[in-house]
Amino acid sequence: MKLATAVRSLARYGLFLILTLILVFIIGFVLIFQNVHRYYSQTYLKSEKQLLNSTIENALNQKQQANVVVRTLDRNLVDLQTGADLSGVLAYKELPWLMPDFKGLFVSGNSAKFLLQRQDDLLLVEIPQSLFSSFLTSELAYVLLVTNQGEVVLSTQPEMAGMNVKSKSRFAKLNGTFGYLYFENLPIENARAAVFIPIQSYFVVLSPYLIISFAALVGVIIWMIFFSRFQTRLVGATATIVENINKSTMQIEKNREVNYIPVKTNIDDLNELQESIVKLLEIEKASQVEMHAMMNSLQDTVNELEEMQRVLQERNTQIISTLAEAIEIKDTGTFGHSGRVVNLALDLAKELGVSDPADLEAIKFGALLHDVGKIGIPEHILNKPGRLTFEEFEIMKKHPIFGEKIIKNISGWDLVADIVRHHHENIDGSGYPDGLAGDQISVRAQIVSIVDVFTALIEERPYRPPLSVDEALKIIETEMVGVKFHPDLYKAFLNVVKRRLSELKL
Amino acid sequence: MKQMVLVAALVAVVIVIVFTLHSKQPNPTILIFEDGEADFRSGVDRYTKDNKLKINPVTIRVDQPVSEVEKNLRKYHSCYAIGPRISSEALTLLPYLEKFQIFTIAPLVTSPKVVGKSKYLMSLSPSDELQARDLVERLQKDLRKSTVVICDRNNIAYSESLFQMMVQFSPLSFDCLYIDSVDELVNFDFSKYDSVVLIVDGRVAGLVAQLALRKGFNGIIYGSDYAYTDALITTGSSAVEGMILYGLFDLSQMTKFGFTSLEHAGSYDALMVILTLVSSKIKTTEASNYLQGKTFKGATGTFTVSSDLSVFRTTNFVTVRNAQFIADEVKK
Repeated sequence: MKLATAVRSLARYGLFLILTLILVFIIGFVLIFQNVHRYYSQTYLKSEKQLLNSTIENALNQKQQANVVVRTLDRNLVDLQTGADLSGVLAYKELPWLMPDFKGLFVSGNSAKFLLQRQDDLLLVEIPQSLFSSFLTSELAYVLLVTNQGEVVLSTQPEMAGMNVKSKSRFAKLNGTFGYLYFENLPIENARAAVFIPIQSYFVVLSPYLIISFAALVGVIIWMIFFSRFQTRLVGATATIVENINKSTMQIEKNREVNYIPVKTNIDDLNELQESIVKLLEIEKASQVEMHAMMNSLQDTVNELEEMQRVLQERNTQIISTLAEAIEIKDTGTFGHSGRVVNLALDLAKELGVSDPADLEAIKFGALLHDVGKIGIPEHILNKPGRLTFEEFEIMKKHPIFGEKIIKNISGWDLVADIVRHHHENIDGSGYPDGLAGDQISVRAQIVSIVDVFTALIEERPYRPPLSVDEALKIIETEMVGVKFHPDLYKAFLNVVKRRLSELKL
Repeated sequence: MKQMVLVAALVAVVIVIVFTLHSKQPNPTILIFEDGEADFRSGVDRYTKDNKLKINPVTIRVDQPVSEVEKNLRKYHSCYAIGPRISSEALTLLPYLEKFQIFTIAPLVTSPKVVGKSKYLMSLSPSDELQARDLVERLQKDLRKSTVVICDRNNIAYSESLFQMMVQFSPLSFDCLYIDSVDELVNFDFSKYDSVVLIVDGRVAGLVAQLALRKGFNGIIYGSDYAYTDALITTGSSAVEGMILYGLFDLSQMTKFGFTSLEHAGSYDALMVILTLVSSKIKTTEASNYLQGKTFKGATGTFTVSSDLSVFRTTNFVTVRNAQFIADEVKK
């Protein structure tokens, strides 16, 4: 996985973490909010119900209550004390009944007025705002007494008296304050208990949770920002370093000198990595220098060996040439013959397309030493001026066998030995010593054979003068092609001779 | 880079939101000084509904301990307000109006102990002096010889000054009773008077009227502007039939607007004046100077603001007939 991909994955996990935090926060917020709401609403509404119940109960039992006005009315709603007809102010459908009018009747200010039945009379119970406010001291919520139509009759927040807040639990803005309004029924007709919890009250309780949640969220976001910046720096620095390293690698591949210049980053680890690379390259450079020196030394040694080999080969050639000359000295009529055969045989080999160095070397040394076996032939036979007798010729025919025997002692000269043994074989099988025919005779042996014949014909012999080139060629063409030599071999040989002659003329 | 673009976009969005919120003209906050007996809110709601306006009305109860009132007012420095209902409340409120530079229009406050004492309190009513003089003249015109004046102890600043001015303008002497509750009059002998002047709240006035009739009173009942409320008719019922009341406002104009309550009509016009000030971008400290001499026509009739921040307007007496207020006569 690439670094940038890995870092992006981590960033995604970070975002997932933030979303999870937000989700957990929302769930926690809702749960705490509900509990706060339940606590306030139930606590305050319970107190309100207690106040109303006790007030009504006391009125019915004729117990005096401070600040509560209780008037006895007849069935026609006439105040028995003043005789005032209150039917214009009071009305009811059922009892007990909460009057919707919030203005005080027998108390100043606003009040809640209940009509109750006691025996044959009615009771008008008037609870003033002041009593309601003092009994239900609510710091974090407003307690309300409302009619079924939503008119606020009493409230611990007196400003709300007279407002119509409707009668449905909901979020609402009352007198400039936003909060949740919650209703519950009362055992009094036309009356509902309500509690209004300002949103600030929720936040007072929720503030530690909000602070902690907010701090956690901010912490994660800051961490994400820091991480993101670090990610940018890390990916950027890494990319630069990788590019730098790639450039250096290309320089190394081109065998150029590399000077790695570290890129300064804010990440210590990357700086250390680059320092390590620099050290590694310095070590590599030192190794290269050492290896170069070793290679030079090795090359010198190889050169020396090659020179030595060349000298040795020269000496070998000289020794072999000397050997050939020694034979020719023994065979007084053929002095210089081997040397001439060598040159012409190599030319013919090239004409025939022989290019293998081993074949050419075999032809060279085969041509030089083809008559080495003559060393085993008695001198009187070798140097006899006249025609050899049958017996003498039979002895003479053994020189290829002797030659092979000598050459075979030299390891790696099997091809040379082959030439030496078969340079007197004929393609029609009439040759000696093995009577090979056609392709049984190697090309190498045939090359040396035709050159040997041609050279012998143009050289002087004790028993005849030298022939001209044309005469020699004619003899070969007429007497030997198809018998001793293959026509193609002769054709190639003819080309070589003609080329030589033309060179000589030039 | 991508991250920077996102941050820049976020900042831009926040700036746009803040700018939009800042440039948006907020609904003006109008304080309503209530005491549990007044109902200024109905007039305010009616005005905003008629004119399709949006305001932020905030009710403040002035029948609470002064410290509590001060705490609430502190939050609304330099606001406009409507109320309070009675002069006694206005008298208590006056130092805090000055302190927090809150300009209020108390439609029905008439006491000279309050009106003209501060550049932060205006009334939509003519002065008590005029009312006292008119009441005395009316008593004389109706040939009343023995009059008892029943005053509200809960609004002493108003009732006391009005009574004293009546005494000052009248060649006859008046008996006077200060009450908290109608119960205090259960044993009072009304029968020896041929006229009763009620300087009490309409609801109490209704109860007193009933009590008086039951106690053998058969003269004429008069009421100051203080008694001129809808509650007078609902509590007084048939006992207030024929009662004569001092009308601060133009009843025909009120009827045209569908108002029967002075509080409703008064708060309607008070908001009209306040919104004139708000739309003219007049600060509360400059409202007094701005309004002097200006004439308005509203639900309470046509009125001109005087130098003491009361008004010049047409006043009239009304009579309760068939559970309704009927204009009696018009006097400038």
